[in-house]
Amino acid sequence: MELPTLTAAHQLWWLLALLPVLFWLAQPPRPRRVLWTAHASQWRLAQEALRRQPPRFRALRWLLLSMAAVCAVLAAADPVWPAGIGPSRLFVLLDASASTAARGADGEASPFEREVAAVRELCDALPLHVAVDVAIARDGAIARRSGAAARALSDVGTPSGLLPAPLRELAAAGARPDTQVWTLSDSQMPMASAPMAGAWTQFGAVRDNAALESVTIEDRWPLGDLLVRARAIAFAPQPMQGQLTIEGAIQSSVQQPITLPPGQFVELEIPLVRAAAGGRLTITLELAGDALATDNGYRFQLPPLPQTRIAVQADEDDQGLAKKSGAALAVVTGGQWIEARPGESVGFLIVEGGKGGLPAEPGPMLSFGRAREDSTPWPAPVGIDWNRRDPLFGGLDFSELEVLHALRDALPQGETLMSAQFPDGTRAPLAVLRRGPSGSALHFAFRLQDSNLALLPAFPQLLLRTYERSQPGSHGIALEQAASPLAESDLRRFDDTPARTVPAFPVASRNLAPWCLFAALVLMALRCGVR
Amino acid sequence: MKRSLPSSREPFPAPFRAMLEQVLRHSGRVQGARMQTLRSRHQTLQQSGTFVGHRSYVKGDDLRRIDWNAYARTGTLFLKLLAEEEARAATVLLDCSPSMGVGTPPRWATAQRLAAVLGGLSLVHLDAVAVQTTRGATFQGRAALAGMLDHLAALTFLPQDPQAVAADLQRRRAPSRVHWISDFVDPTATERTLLRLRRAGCRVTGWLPTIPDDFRVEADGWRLVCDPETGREVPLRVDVALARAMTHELQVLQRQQQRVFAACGFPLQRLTLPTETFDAGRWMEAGWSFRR
Repeated sequence: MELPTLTAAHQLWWLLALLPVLFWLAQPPRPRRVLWTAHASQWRLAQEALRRQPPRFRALRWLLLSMAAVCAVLAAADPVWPAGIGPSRLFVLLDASASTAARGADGEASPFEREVAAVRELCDALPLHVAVDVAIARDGAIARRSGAAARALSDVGTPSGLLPAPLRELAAAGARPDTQVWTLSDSQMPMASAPMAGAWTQFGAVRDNAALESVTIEDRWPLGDLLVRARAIAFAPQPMQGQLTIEGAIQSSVQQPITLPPGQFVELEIPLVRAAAGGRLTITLELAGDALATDNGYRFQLPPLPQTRIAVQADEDDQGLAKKSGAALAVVTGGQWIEARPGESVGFLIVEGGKGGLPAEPGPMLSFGRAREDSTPWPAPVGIDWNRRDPLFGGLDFSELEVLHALRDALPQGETLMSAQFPDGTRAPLAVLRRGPSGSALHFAFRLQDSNLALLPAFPQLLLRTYERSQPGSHGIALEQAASPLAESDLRRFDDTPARTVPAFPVASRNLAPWCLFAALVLMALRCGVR
Repeated sequence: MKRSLPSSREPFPAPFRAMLEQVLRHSGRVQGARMQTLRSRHQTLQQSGTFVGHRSYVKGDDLRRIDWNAYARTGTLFLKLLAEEEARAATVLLDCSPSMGVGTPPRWATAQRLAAVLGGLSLVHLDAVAVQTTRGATFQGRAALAGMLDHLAALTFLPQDPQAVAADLQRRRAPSRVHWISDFVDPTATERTLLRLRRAGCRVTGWLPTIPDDFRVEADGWRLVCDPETGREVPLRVDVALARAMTHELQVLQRQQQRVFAACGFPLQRLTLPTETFDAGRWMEAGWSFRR
């Protein structure tokens, strides 16, 4: 049994000074004037008549005062009742990988829910002096909580992803001489096998499960065609049957029956037509007896399809190159081309020549040789060069571009993608890109009919890139939620190492100073009551 | 640390001895002394006995008892002393308890001088005096005065029971006329002793040399009050209220002393004798008398 000890024992030196002073103060007065008397009886009677008592040393009062002083000094010496031998911290390692969300057919609690309940139950019974740390391992990372948050363990999230490391390594990393490690898991092998040391509790069980290993979408934007490729597998002793459901931002939902043989991948290719408005596309694998739901679904976000009405505005000198370009582009995008008219709503505008100002707000537009009032002719620009790093011009070859006439000072302010040299050696832009919230616009300083640009092999690709990149917003398909990793889907193997319970924690050290002060006060009160 | 009584000065300095000689020579002026002389003369005339010695002549002695032959040889008058069946003597009972040593000036010195005067008068006017103190002694004749003074001066304090002293007197058949010099601070013990002496046929005269502390107490703050009888020391804060209460208790004590002696039929003499001056005239005016 541990005995109380003093943290600041040097404070006891005060007793050497305090006790003699108290003893001296407790002494009755010693008058220096001595009166020898033959009438001692008369002095006594006179005092009794006045109900007085002669002062004298009161041993009990001095004893109580001395004990109170001793208690006060002991309180200053910070007495403590030492804690018992053993760990003073609890490190809880919670396996929150995706496999801990598995449920049985009867809808019983998942391993993760049982882990959380077990931790809360223990924390409720745990002495307050035990520091609790909870590490929740999920998604390849560890979220740690300490103190009251660890004891309350609220808002623990949902299981997902992989463990950042094998549980054995995580438990070993959390082990300290004063720390008791407690690992809770579904014991899915091999990552969640039982640690070598510390307490161990597992809630794993053999269950049938099927998973979507991967889902890929082949996008044919700006066309509405989609091709979904799904790859699924079953971890079960017998084949699993069900269906693959695709619904959301497509013109009609798909429910494809599927049979998954044990341990073999099954691939499905499903053509779809997306809805023009875009939206969420959900692909879900639904099988009877499937224990884990988090590895059965994918969710994508599809942007709206662009408008495919392509307008062409050309001057009277046009030789048909602009209209043919618009018609070719309409064929590729699945749309149609029209003559540009005021007030017409279109998705892309091709302008060839002409005179007048450009729109103040850039939009999906491709213009060639649009002259302004102050434009001047620029005959035969030489030294043509282009920005090869820009996504728009990257990979395109304009080395054979020849321009007979261009317009000087006809381009608006923007990012220069192509430039040429004046006879005096200075350079000026031949093509600029303007960006805006409504889209982008590419402007050339020469007309198609004044150059051989439409005859270059790079022109169709330039036309298509300009159409794509001039559209506002992004037209890529975004993955919102993927199924959990396949490594978490096999629920047939778990570690059956016997559970090791959390040992009892020793009692905390107790500060006895308040008790000493209380004793001092009680002794002082008793002293006041003793005559 | 044992506290001791303050040491008293020489009780019988030369001025006192001179005054004592003067008092004894003119003892007739002492109230009561003449009565003692007449009583002794009457007894002397009516008795006969064997010659036992001489004593000096004092004024008033019977001329027929002067030894003229001795006068012829020495030129000094002597009286022949004859042995009697009952000696004409007195007993001086001096209280030697430590309580007698207190007071400013000490009561003890006054008591010693009073015992010397009473003993001297007895030696002059009677045949003998028995000084009963812590150790008893009997003195006879005028010539024994010096020895008696030495005996008195050599006395020391010793706690004693008055009844034991009375019993000792009775056992030794000491003279029945008793001059008891004491402070009589314990009226109860005093009364028991007086009753015992009265049953033994003694006639007692109480002599109480007073000191200022017998009458008043000064309110002068903290004092360590010491009891010489028990050695007990008590610190007291003597304020006005306590001084008043103590004065009242002293008055009660005086009344008790008077009542005890009156109840036993004996006189009690309170004497306030001069302590620094030894003038015979002032001593004679102290108011003490043998007649009571």
